[in-house]
Amino acid sequence: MSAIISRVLQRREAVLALVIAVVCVVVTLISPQFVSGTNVVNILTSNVVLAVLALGMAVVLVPAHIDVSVGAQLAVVAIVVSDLVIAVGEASVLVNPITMVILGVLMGAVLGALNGVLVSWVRLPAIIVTLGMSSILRGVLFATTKGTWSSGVPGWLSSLQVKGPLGVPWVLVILAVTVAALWFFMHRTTAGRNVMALGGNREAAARLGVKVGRVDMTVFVIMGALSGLAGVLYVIKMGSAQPGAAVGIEMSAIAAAILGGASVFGGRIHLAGTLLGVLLLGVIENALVLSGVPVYWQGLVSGLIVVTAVTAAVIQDRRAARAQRIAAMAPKEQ
Amino acid sequence: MKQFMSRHATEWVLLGLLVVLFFAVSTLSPNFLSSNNIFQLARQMVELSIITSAMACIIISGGIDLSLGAQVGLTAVTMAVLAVNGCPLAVAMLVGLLVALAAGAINGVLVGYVGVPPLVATLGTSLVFAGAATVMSRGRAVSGFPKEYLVFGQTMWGPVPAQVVAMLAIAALTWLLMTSTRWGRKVYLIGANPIAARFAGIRVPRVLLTTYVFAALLAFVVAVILSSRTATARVDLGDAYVLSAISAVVFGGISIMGGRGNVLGAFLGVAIFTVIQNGLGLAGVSVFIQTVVIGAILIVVLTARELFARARALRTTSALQPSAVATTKEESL
Amino acid sequence: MTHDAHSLVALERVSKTYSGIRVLTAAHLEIRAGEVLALVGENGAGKSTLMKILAGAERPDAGAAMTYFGQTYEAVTPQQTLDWGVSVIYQDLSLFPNLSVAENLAFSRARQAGTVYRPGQWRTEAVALLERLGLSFDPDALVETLSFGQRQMIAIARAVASDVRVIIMDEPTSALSAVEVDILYGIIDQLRTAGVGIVFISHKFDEVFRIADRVTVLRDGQVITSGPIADYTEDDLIAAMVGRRTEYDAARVEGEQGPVVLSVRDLMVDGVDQPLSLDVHANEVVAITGLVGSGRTELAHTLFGITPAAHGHIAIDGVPVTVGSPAQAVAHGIGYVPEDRRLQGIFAGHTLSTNVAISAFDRLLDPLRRIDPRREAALVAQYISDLDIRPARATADAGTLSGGNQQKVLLARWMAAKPRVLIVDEPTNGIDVGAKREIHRLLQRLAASGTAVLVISSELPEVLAIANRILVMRHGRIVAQTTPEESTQESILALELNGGAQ
Repeated sequence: MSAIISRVLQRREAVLALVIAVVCVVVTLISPQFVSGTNVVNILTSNVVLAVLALGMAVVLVPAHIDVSVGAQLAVVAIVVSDLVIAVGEASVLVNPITMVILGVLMGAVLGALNGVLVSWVRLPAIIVTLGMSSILRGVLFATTKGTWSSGVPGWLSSLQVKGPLGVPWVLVILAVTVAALWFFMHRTTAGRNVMALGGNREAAARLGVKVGRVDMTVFVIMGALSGLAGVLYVIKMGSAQPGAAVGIEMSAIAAAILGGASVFGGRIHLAGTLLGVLLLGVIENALVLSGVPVYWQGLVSGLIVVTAVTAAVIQDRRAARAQRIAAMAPKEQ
Repeated sequence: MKQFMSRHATEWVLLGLLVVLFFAVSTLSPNFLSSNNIFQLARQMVELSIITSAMACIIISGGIDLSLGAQVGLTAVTMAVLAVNGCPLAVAMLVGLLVALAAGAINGVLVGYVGVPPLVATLGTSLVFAGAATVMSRGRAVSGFPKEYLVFGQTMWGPVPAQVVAMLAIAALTWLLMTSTRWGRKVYLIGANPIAARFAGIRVPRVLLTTYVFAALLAFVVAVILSSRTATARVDLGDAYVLSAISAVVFGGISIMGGRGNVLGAFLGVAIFTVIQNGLGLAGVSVFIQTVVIGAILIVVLTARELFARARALRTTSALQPSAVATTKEESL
Repeated sequence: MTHDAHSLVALERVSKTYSGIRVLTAAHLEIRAGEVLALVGENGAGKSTLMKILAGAERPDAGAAMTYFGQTYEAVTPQQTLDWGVSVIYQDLSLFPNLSVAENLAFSRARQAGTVYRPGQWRTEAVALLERLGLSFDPDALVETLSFGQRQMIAIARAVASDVRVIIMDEPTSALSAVEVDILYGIIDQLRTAGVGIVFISHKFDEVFRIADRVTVLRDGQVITSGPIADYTEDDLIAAMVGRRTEYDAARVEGEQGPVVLSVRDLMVDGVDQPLSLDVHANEVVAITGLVGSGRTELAHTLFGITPAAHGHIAIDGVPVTVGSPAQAVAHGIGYVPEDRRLQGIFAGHTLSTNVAISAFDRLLDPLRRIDPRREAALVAQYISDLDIRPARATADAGTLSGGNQQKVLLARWMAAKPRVLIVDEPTNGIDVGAKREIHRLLQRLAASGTAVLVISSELPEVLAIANRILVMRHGRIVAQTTPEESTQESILALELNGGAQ
């Protein structure tokens, strides 16, 4: 029995689910309104933006890259989409939720491709490329909008936050579809397997004929596409957009991905874990709010969780790597 | 002499670029060369230059510190909250210093002893530092420093602001530390080849710890200068400097991989960026476009450098017999 | 059994020069269908280079003729040889530790199969393959959980999975248990029946005589002899491997052995189950020799604190010391010139001066505790002239120096540290003859000045020339101790191959 328990606990998802459950129980004792139906749905829907970004980040982390421009990408798409729908007003064949999602994804993909070219072809470090891209995109945004907000997104779009089939808000449906698509890509396509291979042993992948540059590009395009989707979801959720949208969200996305099981050294993908990571962060934030803890504590709490999780993950990774190295040493024969 | 010139080629190019820029901007905006503006320029440079000095050391060691901005905010807020609540200024500043040292130590331990990659470690600690600062400041700007505090930000020694002198002193000190002390050499060597550094008997974790603590100290100085200039402390006081510092460092010829480059080059990089920003500002270009320009320059310069390096490598190897794969190690055959 | 003498791959006139050093000279090799060819030779004979050239991973010098399945080329690419069915099992195995056994086995085939990836199909095929080969692995286990020997089996299985026509294995049984070795022999038999050509590099004569049909012996980059295994005895092979070659001038330390400087007792090196003891005296050079994988570098790393031992006693000049890290080792007066000078020794991009002075920083300080450039320059200039390092410019980029000069820089670095014990790992690997002689004399001088010198070397003539005592290692243990007077290259090689065996 204890063997089964320890085996289960090895899985990151199980640990996260356990922690979430514990936190939920504790919070409910303090503030019973935590488990109200509306609250639960609220937690889920208000974290969809972060969830989509974190999923993309999990993919980017596999080949040991990083992307800190996702907030800026999100803001660009959010502003374009919100300006468009506000200007157009009524939903039509050309401008409706479906086309807006497609537009957002495509725009994001293009932005991601810009990062991809610099990382895969020019081979600049991802951190530098995405840092620079982030400031370029933000600067352009602020300059063109002069810092103004676009608000008053029509109801046919913003209602997707609460309305949906069988009572499930459309944003959650979109999230579910996204997770499914990503899962399919990573586990059921050769391209996705190539991404995993690159994360496991880049030289071996190259030796076996994998086009490394193409894989790097793919990863950033996917991240960009997901940032674009997150931008549309942002507009749905906030009903507005502004050039300073989602500043700093990169950190939370990276944190959620790492909480969910992504290794800082690459090679692992845990989509479910990432979602749980987002959920944990969301639950804690909600718990703090409900417990009457002032808003300004949230940053510190999430920060501490992130640092602890990352440190623990790294220690675990290094111990495993060291054990591997010893096992992998051409052992002296018997 | 020729050797000196060629070894510092990047720095000479930068200096030349700076001079050219000076002329260009002064032609476009006659106001540029006014003594008022020059001092404004120097003052603009101060914080960025000091943070850049800190960032330069860390990047040379092969790492990166994304938490420097948050450290500035944290130490400034700490001192402000204490001072506002009646703590004697000297004590408040001492506590601020201790907080800075602690922050640097946390980074240093995570990177040097635990082995967390610097990128992720400092990303995480920046959240913690900013979070702690937010808690202390209740998310608001804190003002109410005693009058004596303003001396740091606003003293003039003759025509020259004291901060400018501090900036120059720190740049010189950092340069001295990195080039003439054993610690500085070790930082370079760790960045150049961390494995060989260990094999050579260098105490890598200890050197890394010292490096991050040093950076934290410099961030503390910036915190004092910034918060005393405006007599206010905010959590996001230092946020703008991280990217610009990294850009200046890289622009100044320091390799992002570590192990090579010169703190002087980074200083020139800061000068160039500030001149550009100042010039653009005088020309009426919005602040936002300025950030775009900085980001774009960073990427363009790095791309150009990479492509030139590749072109050069191609030219040299095509002279020899081409080999399918270049081996880096002569294995036991 | 050459029942089918059909030639699959034939290499002729293959030469290879690395930065001025001739590593292969007019080597030739033929792989025939259904035949196992053993490639035999000492460390440094050129076996791995020849295999890399065969696989297309290295390009031979001009003038080579490489014939693959009927077509002749001057040079080929790895992708080409892969497509033609030449499968190489590299020493690092090229596996993906984060993927499962089944995924690793199917990797290449899955990529060719199209966009959609069907794990079920590959798992079934993997199970079938493992069964066919007699291996019992959990197809879903992640490769990172397997031991090195197990990974070797998976790498071999993967090579077999594709439509392979030629398989090259480099020391395939070095990490396998007896059971796994038998399984491997079974796989090789299966391949042989299927008409696959197999080349394997090995040091184990029992294995060579058991499974090889033909053998090719390399020495100093040349093919000495080649033919059916039945035509040879073990002594024939040893003689061919060692041969009569240039011997080095004796550069041995004269005079009496001094007092014990380094004393090691019951040291438990990671991964070795038997404790190890040895002594090194002043005024003597002790050479440690053995085959690749015999544990010499592991011993050096343990003595230098890179992988500290859990148990054991080390004493310097009679004083017990704990060596828990390289920094501690240096503090106790132990120095180590590493095997891979580029990866572990030289700081490329930094000056010759920095590379030499690094161990001596503490002695070069001015009153302000800064490194005094004049004292540094004086120290470095002394070593540059003493060791004849070229170019004789302290500001030269150490990364651009030739191998021999880089080695001298490393030696200068450690000599400047004035250690009590200096461990030198393969000091003349990849260095020309003239430089080798210089380094031998340097080591001799060092030992004569009172330092305990421990030299790890695979080059037997070198060992005979410079050592006062020779320790032979095998399987992580010291299996023999001898002196140059009592030994020949053949006798030492025999000890390396068989020493300590029942």
